[in-house]
Amino acid sequence: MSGVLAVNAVLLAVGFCLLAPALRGLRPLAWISWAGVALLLGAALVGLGLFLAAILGATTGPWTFAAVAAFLAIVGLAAALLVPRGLLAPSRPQVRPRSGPLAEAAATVLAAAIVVLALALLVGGFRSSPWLDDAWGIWLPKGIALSRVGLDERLFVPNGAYVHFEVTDYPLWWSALMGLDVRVAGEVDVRAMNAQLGILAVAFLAAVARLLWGWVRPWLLLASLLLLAASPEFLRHAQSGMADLPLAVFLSLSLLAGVLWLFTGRGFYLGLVVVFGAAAAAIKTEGLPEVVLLLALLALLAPRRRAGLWLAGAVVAATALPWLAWRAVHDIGGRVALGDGLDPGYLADHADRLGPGVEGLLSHLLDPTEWLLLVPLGVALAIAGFARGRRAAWLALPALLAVGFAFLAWAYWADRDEIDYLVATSAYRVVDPLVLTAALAIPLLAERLLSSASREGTRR
Amino acid sequence: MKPLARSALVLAVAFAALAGLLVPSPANSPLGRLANVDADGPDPRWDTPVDGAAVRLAGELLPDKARYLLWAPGASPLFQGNLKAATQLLLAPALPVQDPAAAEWVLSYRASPALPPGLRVGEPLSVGPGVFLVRVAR
Repeated sequence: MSGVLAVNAVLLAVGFCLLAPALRGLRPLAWISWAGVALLLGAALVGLGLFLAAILGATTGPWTFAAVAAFLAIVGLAAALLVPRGLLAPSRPQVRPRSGPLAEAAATVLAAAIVVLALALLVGGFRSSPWLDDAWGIWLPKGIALSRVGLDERLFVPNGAYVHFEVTDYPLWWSALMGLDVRVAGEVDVRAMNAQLGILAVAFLAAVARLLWGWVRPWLLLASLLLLAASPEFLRHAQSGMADLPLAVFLSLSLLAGVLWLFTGRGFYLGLVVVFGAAAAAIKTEGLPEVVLLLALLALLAPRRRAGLWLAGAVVAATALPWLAWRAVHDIGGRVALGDGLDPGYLADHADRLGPGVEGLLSHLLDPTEWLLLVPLGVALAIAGFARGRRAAWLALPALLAVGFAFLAWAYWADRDEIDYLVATSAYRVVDPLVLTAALAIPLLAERLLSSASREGTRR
Repeated sequence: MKPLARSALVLAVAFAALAGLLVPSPANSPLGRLANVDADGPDPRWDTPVDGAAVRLAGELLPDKARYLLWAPGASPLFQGNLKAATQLLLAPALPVQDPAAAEWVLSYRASPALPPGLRVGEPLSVGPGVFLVRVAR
């Protein structure tokens, strides 16, 4: 399992090299506070590099990993030397609410509780093997093959001679990272999947705290993060080996970076939109349409700077082209046939699928024993804000959730697998991107509500 | 806020967390798997009892990039699926084939008949109870 730590140490180092142009001149402690963002940035780009290398014919073993990591680190360090200081820096937050001793005490307790849960995520990850059989039945075998023989047509394209993998249309980011972890660890140990998921989940909490620090008063930010970290499904999914959690991590972070871009207009955040969005698109088939759809909606709702988000969405879509081209060359269609999904006749004939799909998705989004009411809370805050301010921006979260939900319901409707089986085996996890998006919106919405309430109080 | 007060708060949370871990919880729950039971092993949590050690040993004996056939006729689809995953995990970079005639090796898993009919093979290497690896003669 030390291999997982070694891989992640390299990912962290690569991430810091890539952040160097933005963080130049900061004190060491301030650098450390960016560790979560750095690890996810390194993981996203190294994973994308491995994925591209596989498409180009390389194996995704340690040598390719070293080459990709070295290339990215050199790019980051060169940019730090060549790009003028401050050009790529994140902006300083505009909101600095004053806090009293009670708020400080609350923030301390909340931070300590999050650290405890983060330790539980890590220890649980390193001790457990995935409970989801897809993890060791599909994702990891693909990764091991990628690291040993590469994207070999005999294994990755259906044929009559060799035993090929299932769901050959799925992108390979998660498999490539898993295969690398196992390869560097030196033996096939499926606990590596949960160890990697635990590390990504903790990095996610740290990255959100860093990105929103100063935008939201600390106790509120930490309370929101605690709500997510304490959600039973967050820990359960982190012990599953599933690709849905990393997809949700990168998709929600891409959207959060998009919101920060709209607030600040800093290119740093737009860069994060692209990198995290591209990683989301490279994890599961639904990642690409979800991230492009939601970024486009965010752009539509934005009063200004929407061109940046359109551009980011286009770049994210472009990063998926090599895989789509490889699939087209090898005649690998999607599980959900687009022709069926866009055919009114087909959809009308299968209208009975819509009810179970919608019901299944809603039950997981709203069940308080799964995600502690994160989604209803986010929607309630948005509606409360709209009721006070009557500005459309308050409704961005409900709109994003509605579109994301409609996409998932449509995918169930158009799919050809038996609907009850499909919902029972996937609805609990395909909702992850929506839940995490709501979770990241909660602190921002709550802060805006509190700020506007205190401004009104001051005016009176 | 004074550092001493801050430290006391952090310690209080740590103690509360420890107390929470000591409360028994179902062994299969995420917290139960964290605190109350032994760690899982390196093999998957099979849906059916697959002899992972036998397949692992076969993986050590099988040459890299050899073409092998998994032979377990009559096994249930679930068992077949688990075995397929086990071999893809543990026998790589050897390549699994569908046609016995294309195989250089056969991994026979508690099978009856023990080998595909009509195949000329060498001496079987036992890797576990009822599980053996055998080279196809050419």
